Parts: sequence; C-alpha cells; structure tokens
Amino acid sequence: MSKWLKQCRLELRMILRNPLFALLPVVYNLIFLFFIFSIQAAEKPGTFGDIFEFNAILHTLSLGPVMLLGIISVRRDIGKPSFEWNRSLPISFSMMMSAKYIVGQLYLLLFTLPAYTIMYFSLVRQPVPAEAVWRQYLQLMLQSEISYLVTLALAMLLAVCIGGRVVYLIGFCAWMFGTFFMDIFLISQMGWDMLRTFHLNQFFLSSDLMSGEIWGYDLYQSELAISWRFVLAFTVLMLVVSLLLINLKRPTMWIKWWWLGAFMSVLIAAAGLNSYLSLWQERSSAIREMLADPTLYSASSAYAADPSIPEVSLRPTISSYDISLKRRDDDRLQLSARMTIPASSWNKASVFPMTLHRDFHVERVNVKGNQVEYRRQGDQLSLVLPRDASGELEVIIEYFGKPGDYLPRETKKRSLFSIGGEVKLPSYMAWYPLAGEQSLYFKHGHPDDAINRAVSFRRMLFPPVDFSLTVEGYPNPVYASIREWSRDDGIQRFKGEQVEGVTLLGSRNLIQYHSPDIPAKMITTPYNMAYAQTQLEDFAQKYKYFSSWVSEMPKQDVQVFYSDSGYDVNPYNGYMESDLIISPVYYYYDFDVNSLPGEWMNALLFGNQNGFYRDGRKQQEDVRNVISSLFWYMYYREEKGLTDIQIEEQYSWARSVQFLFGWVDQETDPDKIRQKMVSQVAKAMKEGKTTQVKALLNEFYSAGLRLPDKQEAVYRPEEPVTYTQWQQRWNEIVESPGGK
Amino acid sequence: MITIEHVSKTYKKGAWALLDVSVTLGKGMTGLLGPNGAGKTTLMRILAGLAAPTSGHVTVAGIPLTRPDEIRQMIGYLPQYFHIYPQMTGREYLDYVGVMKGMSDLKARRLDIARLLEMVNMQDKADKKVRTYSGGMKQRIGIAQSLMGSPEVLIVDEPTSGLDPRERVRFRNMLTRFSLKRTVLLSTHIVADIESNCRQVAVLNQGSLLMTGDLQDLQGCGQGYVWEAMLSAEQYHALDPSLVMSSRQQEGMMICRMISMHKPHPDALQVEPGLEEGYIALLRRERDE
Repeated sequence: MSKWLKQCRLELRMILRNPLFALLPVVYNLIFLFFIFSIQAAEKPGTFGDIFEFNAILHTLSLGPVMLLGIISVRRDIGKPSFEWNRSLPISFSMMMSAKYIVGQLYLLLFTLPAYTIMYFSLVRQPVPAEAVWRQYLQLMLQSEISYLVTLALAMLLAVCIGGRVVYLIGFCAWMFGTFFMDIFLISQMGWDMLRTFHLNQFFLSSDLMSGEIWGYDLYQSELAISWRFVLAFTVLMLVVSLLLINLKRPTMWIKWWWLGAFMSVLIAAAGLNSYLSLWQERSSAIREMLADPTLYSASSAYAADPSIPEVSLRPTISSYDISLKRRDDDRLQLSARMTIPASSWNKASVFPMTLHRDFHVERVNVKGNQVEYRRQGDQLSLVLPRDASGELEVIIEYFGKPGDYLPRETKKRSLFSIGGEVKLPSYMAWYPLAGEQSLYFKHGHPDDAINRAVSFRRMLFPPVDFSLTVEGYPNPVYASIREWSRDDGIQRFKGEQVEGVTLLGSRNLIQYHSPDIPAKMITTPYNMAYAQTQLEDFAQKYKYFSSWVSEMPKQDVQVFYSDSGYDVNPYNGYMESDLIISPVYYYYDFDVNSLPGEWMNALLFGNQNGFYRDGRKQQEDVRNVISSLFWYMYYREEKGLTDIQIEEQYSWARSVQFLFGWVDQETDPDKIRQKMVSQVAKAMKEGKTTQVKALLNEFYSAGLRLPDKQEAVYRPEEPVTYTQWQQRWNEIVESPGGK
Repeated sequence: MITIEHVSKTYKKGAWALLDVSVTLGKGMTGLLGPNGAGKTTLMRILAGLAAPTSGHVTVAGIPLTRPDEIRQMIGYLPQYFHIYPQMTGREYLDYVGVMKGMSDLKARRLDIARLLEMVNMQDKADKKVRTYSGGMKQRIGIAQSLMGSPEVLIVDEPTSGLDPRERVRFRNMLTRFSLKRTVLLSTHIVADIESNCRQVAVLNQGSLLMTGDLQDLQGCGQGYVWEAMLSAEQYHALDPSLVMSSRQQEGMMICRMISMHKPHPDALQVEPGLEEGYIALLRRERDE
C-alpha cells in the first residue's frame, strides 16, 4: 500500500507540476463560472437545457486534455527505454497503472467538482429548488466521471499500443471521432442512434434527449444504465488489455492470470454490448414491422399525411368515454374503456372500426354486456358487432400494454411512453380506442433507402366527446388535457365535456403552481418555475382584462403546461388541447416577441385558430381573424395604454395583432380591409364608443372566432364572417345613434 | 550467484541476440565485455528480469527466471540509458526508489539515501531539481538508485559512460567495496573499467560467449599475438593500420604495439600482452576464424 501511495504522490506531482495540466482546470472552471453567473433563471426559461448544452461543449473540449493526460502518463515512464530502471523495481505494472489511473481521475475531478458545485450554489440562490439542482448536479457528475473513466482508459491503451509520438495524433483523432464527428455526422445526420454508447461523454450537442428537465434522464435511465454498464465493462477491458500488453513486455509470474483477466473482461464487455444491442434490436424490429405494415400511410410529409375528411355517412363517432387506467409496478398499463357509440355512428354495420395503438393488447371486448369478436391489424381494431344489436351501443374494451415507440428520424424519438412516473400519452397516439380506422403513423422516404426510410406520427381526427378518466398507480401526479376533479390515495379523476383529444402527461420533475389572482394553474418544471411565475402574473393581468368584458370567455380553471423539453407540439394541435394549454419554451414568443402569456390568453379566448392564415382566401370573404385581432387591439390600447405606433413597434410580430399592423398582403387584401377595421375601432374609441365596440366584438365572439381548419371543422364547424356582415353589424351597433 | 545455462534470445525479425550462452557468475564483480551489439544489454535485461530468454535457463541467487517478480526483489539495476523525472530532486527520487524497493521504514530509508548520496558525491546537489543536473550527475544518481536497499545482485550496464575520470575512479572503488559480499555484473566495452576491479570477466561477441575466466585468462588470450617494433616514419605509414594497437614517438622513431597472428614486420618482437590486447586479440581471433 505504501508503494501505491508513493506512486500516487508521484503521479499527482507529475500532473500538477506540468503548467498545462495545472492551468487547465482553472481555465475550465473560470469559463464555467462566467457562464453560470450570466444565467438568470427568473428572466429566461430553459436554464436546464442551456446548462446542459454549455456543459456538453465544455466537457467535450475537456476530453482533449484527458486524452493527452492518459497518453503522457503512460509514455512518461512506462513507454521509454531510459526509464527501464523502474521496470526492474519489485513493483507490478498494475500498481503503477492503477496509481496513474486513479490519480488521473482525481485530477479530473478538479474540472467538474468545483464547476458543478458553483452551479449548484448559484442556481439555488436564483432560486431554483435545491432538490432539482441536486438532481442535475448528480446527473452531470455521474455522466462526466463515467466519461472520464472511459476516455482516460482509452488514452492509456493507445499509449501502450502505439510506441511513437504518432500516438498524440491518433489520440487527437480518437477524441474528435469519439465526440464531435460521431455526434454531428454519425448520430445526428446518419441517424445511427445505436452508436450513442460509443460516444466518449454522451453529452450530445445536436441530438440530445437528456437536455430536458422532464423525460430526459428519468425516461432513459434504464437505457443509460445498460449503456453505462457496457461503457464501464469496456473501460475495464481496455485497462486489463493495457496491463496485459505491458506485462507481455516484461516477464511476470502472473501472465496467465492476465490472459484470464483479459478473457473475462472480453466476456463481460461482450455481455454488456449484447444487452445494449438487444435494446436496439427490439427497436429496429419494431420499426421494420411498422414499415412492412400495409395499414400505414405512405406520404412525403406530415402535411401530405393529413387525414382525408370522411363523408358524413361514414363518420364513426363515440359520444362518451369512461376510462380506467392502472399502472403496474412493471410499467404495464391495464386499461378499461367504457364507450358509448351512438346509433347514427354505426348504422347497423356489422363491424365498427376503431384505432388503438399497436403496443396495447386487447383482452376482451363487450358490446351491450356480451363478449364479441374483434380483429386487430397494426393500430386498427375492428369490433364485430352482434347481428341483433340496435340503438346506442355500450362497448367495454379491456386492454393492457407497455406503450413506447422509438422513431429514429424524429427529434424527440418517442411519441408515447409510460415509464415510471414519466408519462406521455398523447391523444394522437391512440392510447385509448378512437373511433374510425385512423393511421397513427405514416411512412416516408424511399422504400429502398434504409437510412431515410422512417415512420412519423400523423394527425388524427377527434370528434368532440364527453370524457371521464381515472388514473392510478403512478408515483407522481399526472396531468391530463381535461380537468382534474379529484386526487386522493394516488387515484386521480379527470372529466371533460365535449373535448377533442385527451392527453396524459407526467414526470416526477413537474410541479404545479396556482395563480393567487385568477383560477389558473401552471404545470411546469423547477428550473422554469421563477420565470413561469412572472409569465403567469402577466397572464393574470390579461385574463382579468378580458374577463371583465368578454361575456362568454371560458372561466373554468385554466391549465398551462409550460416545459422546455420533450413535447413536440403537433403543428395541428397548436397550443390548446381540450382544456390544457400546452406551451413549450418557444424562442419566438418567449424572446423575440416577448408575449408568451398573450399566446396563452389567445388560446384561452379563441382556441388554436388553425385556420387563422386562411389559405389564400380573400379577406373580404372572412374577417374573423381580423376581429379576433381587434380584441388584442383593445387590450393594448385600453389596458396597456399604447398608441397605434407603439403597438406596431412592440407587438407587430405577435400573431395576435400582426394582421392589423405588420402584415400587408395585396393579393388577399387589396382593399386594406384590415387597416380599415382597425381605423374604425380607433375612431370609435376616440369618440367614446368603446362599450359599443366591445358589445360588437362580444357578439362575434359568441358566434365563433375559433377559426378551425378543414379537419377541425369536420366536427366543429364555424361560419365565416364577411366584411359586409361586419360593416352591417358595425353600423347597427356602433354607428347608429341608438346602438348598444 | 547467477547461473546462465544455454541461454539464447532471438528477436521478432529472427536475428539472434544471444546464442547458447552458459556461464556462472559467483560473488564479487564480474566484467561483461563485448563490442557494441554483442548482446551485453540483452543479457543484462534478461538477468534483471526485463526480458525473457527464448531458450535456456537462468537462476539469480537460486531463483529461476520463471519467478521474475522474486528476482526483482533482490537486484539493483542501472540501464545503459538512464532518465529520471526532471521535476523531482535527487533526494526525492531516491526516496521514491527506496519505497518501491520495500524500504518502508522512513528513518532507515533516509539514512540509506544520505549514505548513497555521499557515496556518489551528490550530497550537496541532492535537493536540486533533476532537470538542473548534468549527464554525469544523473548517472551518479542512477548508480545510487541501483544500490538502494543494498541488493544481493547488482547489474549495471555501461555505468561509467558520462562520468569524468575522477568520478569513474570513485565509482569503480565504490563497486569494488560493494561487491565484496555480493554479485555484481558490470557490462562495458571499456577494458579499463574492469581492469582494476573485476575478479571475473566474460566476453561476448555477436551473441556468443567467447570466454570466461579471470583477468589473466583474458590477458592470456593475447599470448603470441602481440608484437612491438621501432619503425621509421616511412615504415610506420606502410604498416596495415588495423594491426596497430598503440604507437608513440621516441627519438624520431615510432614505437608500435601490434596484434597479429603472424609477424607483422621483420623488426617486430613478440611481447607480453596487456588486458586490452588480450581482449582485442580474442575478438580478432574470433573474427579471423
């Protein structure tokens, strides 16, 4: 032991007396310090991701010195003939190498330990909840250290194998290849995700799944554990092979044991690799299965995969759901869906088509109390209805499964999952039976193109429905896109009336915050909490303003799901899904326009307005989008006290008022109707007719300003408002002397 | 005692570095002579447990080479090319070697280091960084490290290269004292290094052992091959220079000592060989045969 300690002291001294190695941790920590102190979590969202990204770059850069350290520490004495005297000493190479390795690791702690400790205290003071920062601290520390373990072992192996100075060049290439090249080209561009485990630090710059507070480490922890087990086994293999090679150069009595050790290490590493590859084999076969599925659409893009609008007579619908979901300890979900199918929907057909995600296995189907046959193909579920059935049908489907897909070409890779407390069961993934045969995914890319051939999820049609949902078995609360009515003993009950899709979201990192001023709650993450609170205050101000005069504004509990990661907002779903405003950190509205609460308010007032931009139709034919913008005009003028010029300068790029100021379109609006309408309102306000204007806007609001697109309009149509109609009502309400 | 029996060593390219070498080295100092490339370093490395022979059997103090880790417990070794960590002082370095040699008692180790530093005349430079040392100083520290822990067997490969004449003498005397109760193997191609101190000598050439014995035996190898003649300048220039061992001027004539199997000049007379002449005669005889 005294020999080992002496060797450790020597190695430590060799490192710290090298000016480069002495200086590098200082520089590293100064850069990190500078970055951390520039963070203001309360003023900017996405702090977690920002730290992750910055750390990824800095840590990846630090692997260069690690590589250099490993090569130098071996070449310094073990590789040089003039240091042969130390090989004649009664010491083993394992003693020398272990001292080099351990001291190297201790030295590398000088990079990460102070940096992450500074991060911890700085963020806790921001304040970000200490528990959340501690979790990130541990994650970063663990991943960093594992990375240093494997990189240092690789560098030492290279130095043992390659005698000449060319080893420095090879070490440099290994560093570049094992980090930037693998990340940017092989994984991100080529899509070879299974190489992730071979990345030297697994801090990915361009395709990282761990950079989110939710659905990051917690979601991938089993995969990471498998990957890290392999990495550690491979590290041991590299160290043992290094020792074997050195011992082959000098006679020793233990050489047979080293051969045996190397053999065992190969076996262990192979076993680790095998379990890692099995994971990918499963994913790959699931994708192959999907590509071979004839029920999936083939389309060139998500837009091209839009569902066609069915004829009225062919629209299968369900009028109500009562779903019970129980999560088992092994992440298996056991579900029972009780549904009502109106008579008009099945129309005496012998088969009722439904859609249920392929990961769920149907146990039994009951129609009006009788068990019936069903057929399953991919995501399609066809119920064979009894011949004697009539009228409204009550159907109960019992099913179970472990939902989880992996779409290699999608940014977030997984469109549904339920692992531990990490839950993402979007409505468009049919985690409960949907009416009609709808393809959840679509295929794109050339059939022969193995790399670009991919599967993506596609848009769905959701007829409005009454929904009741009971969820139990999760270690943390989950959130649904319908309202939660009760929560006790781990059982949550949700209800919604005439809702479209129902999505379930959950993560142990989600927290909720209730506004003290308005009936609204924010579901967000610890790092974004401070920022989200300021946004919620802004939202409350807008809410109060509009609720003071918009008579039919929804005033039930407003739920905002605000997260910087994990949720790919379906462009069709927009922000609003049923009763939940889903709002990812979005650079444009968070920073460029600085009106994120305005978007939430807009979603609460008008829904998603997917038809807002009107597909090239003439403005004269439909002015609903301009009318909804006038609500915001009123807000900026009345509540904020801004002039037209100030509105234009500050908010013209916000969707809410861009039609009024920033958007000039000669083709669809040659008569400048938008400008005319805003001038009308401005003039009326100047004349003291604000109340009349509000009355007019309320009238149109009651008639509908949701602006659904074609698909949404299938089930919830809305009539356009022509400019002539607007003018007519304007004259009647605002201009007439006896107006309201 | 070191026993070497039929030891051969071949490298990957197939060249023989040692070929069937057998010799027994008893207590005291043995000089291993041989020209550059004779296989001396290879033999030294085998004995120090740094390389394995391709065939043959070696024991060091009764321990076979199949137990090299045990052999390393009892040897001191100074390689031909010697480098140490420039960031350390000489004392720190010796302390490191002492610990590695199992000298765990700090007090005893310090005493040993002080003794060795004095022995190699480095006590006043011991606390200076190695990077400030001259080549000779480093060599002296190298010698000291090989003597740390008073090993039973000392193997030193060309230790005097880089030493000035005074240090060289000092070193030889030191080795002589050290070898009284121990086995010391000194490899060199400088005959003077072994002339005054070695009891035994072995000569290696092209991987083969040419002779073993005492210094007289080596000297005797030149018997009948060493000639001396007094020559004019013209005669001297006409002489085959490869035969000449030494020459000096005396009263306008050149007195030459030559090594030759035949009388090299009509005026040449056979003389008693010196040690170096015996060594050269042995090598030349081997070459000619």
